[in-house]
Amino acid sequence: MRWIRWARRTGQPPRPGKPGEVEPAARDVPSRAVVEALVRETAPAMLRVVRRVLGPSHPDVDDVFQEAAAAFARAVVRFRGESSIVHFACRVALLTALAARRRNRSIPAASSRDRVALEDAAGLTDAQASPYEALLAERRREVLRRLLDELPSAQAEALALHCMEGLMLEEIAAASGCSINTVKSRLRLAKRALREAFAANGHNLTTWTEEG
Amino acid sequence: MAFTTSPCPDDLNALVSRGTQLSDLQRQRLATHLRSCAECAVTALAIGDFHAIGRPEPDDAQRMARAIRAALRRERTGRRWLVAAAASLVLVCAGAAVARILYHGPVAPRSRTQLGRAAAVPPSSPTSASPPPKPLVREPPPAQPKRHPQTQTAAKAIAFVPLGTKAAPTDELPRSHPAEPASAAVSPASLLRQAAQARAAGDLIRAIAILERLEREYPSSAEATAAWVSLGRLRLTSGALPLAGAAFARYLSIAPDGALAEDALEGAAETRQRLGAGAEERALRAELLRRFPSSPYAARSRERLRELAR
Repeated sequence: MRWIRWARRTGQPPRPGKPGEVEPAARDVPSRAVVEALVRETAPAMLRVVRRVLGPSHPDVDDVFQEAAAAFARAVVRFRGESSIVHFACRVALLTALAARRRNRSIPAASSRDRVALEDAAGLTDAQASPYEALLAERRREVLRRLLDELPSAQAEALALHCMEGLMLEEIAAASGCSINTVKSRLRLAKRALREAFAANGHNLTTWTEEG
Repeated sequence: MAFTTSPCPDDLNALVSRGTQLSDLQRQRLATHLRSCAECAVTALAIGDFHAIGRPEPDDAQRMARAIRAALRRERTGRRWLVAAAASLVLVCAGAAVARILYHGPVAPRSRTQLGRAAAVPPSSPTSASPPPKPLVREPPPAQPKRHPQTQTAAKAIAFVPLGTKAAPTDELPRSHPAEPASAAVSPASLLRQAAQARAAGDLIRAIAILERLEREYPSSAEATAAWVSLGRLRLTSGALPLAGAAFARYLSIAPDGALAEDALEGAAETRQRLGAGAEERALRAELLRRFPSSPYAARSRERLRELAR
């Protein structure tokens, strides 16, 4: 069960050639049982990504998560170990959720979206934050989600992996299959668009403090 | 993650979101950068905002189990649908083929086997132009002889163009001799036999007329295919060079890989030689040597190529 061992080694990209490290062979196609095990193992991360992209109270979270799990089960046979399996699953879930958002872009109305934002802010943000700060944070999240719908896919993917999952440049490059310089370029453009979107929505950037 | 160089502010932001303790130097560097870079500042804000949500909920275990079951079922069903669709396609194609055979009867295209039977007709000798008759079973003639695309290309490549004259279309050869009176009992084999007898008797005109009748009345028969070479040889002997070239070209267009292909190539080359078309003759002899290096015509072709090269 090399794939299971491989799946459990999460959090850092693989380093081929390192002594004692087992890499999945190129033709080592996982069996159905292994695929199921991998889906179960990566499901929490995928669900988290779907929630972050759609919003925790979004009614389509379950459907999109199911879609993402099916997509991961199909895609995992092509996984070659360029990144960790969790990052790979996160990327699959992210792309599925972004596609679902773009597909259903016309569904959420402004009023219902505001209500959802308020509920999210009230129930799910950091307990130490004041309700006002929690509401502001949810508004900023919503601005970023809307920006993801409008950005080119590659930039949206890089920005989402960085902001929503906290992936570093090297990890984004490994998961996306491109060079670090490409990721830097995409991220630079996406961050500029994010700053403009925040400014257009009247968010005060001075709220940032050294403690985060 | 271990860094060989100091991490960029983007990576420091990500490390902060993961709860990694930064060193004093890193923290100071990050703070300095974020004060001067609005884009990294908003990114840091966004990272912090999203890090605060997405935590597991109490009913996540059941929710995930349910969704995973459905997802795996969907994935398996999708694969089954793919297999079923492929099987359906094969069945539909097979059904269509069976229906076609039932409604139209078996199609009799000009196949390799038939061409092989054409080869059973003894070819005309390069020296004596008399094809010995051989009885063959008559076959129902299809409406049009079927040509292979490559065949048409090959025919075009060696299409006979008489020097200084306009070539007659190979499909509608001009009739140089009157046709034989039609007879209901005449089969292609018997026509071939009659032509051989006329040829043996020295009546080239009559032999040509019989072969032309064979081509006209049974264009898709194996005998007719083989007869194009005999016809070309007879026309060459009689001095009808453009028509001889057309006959050889016709055979090569119908059966480029037929048993008489080397005879046809030799006849076509000889026709060009007598017409003085050196370039065409060179090409045909080169083709003959390339395809049939051990042909009885090979020595003669090499000699001609040497002469043409001088």
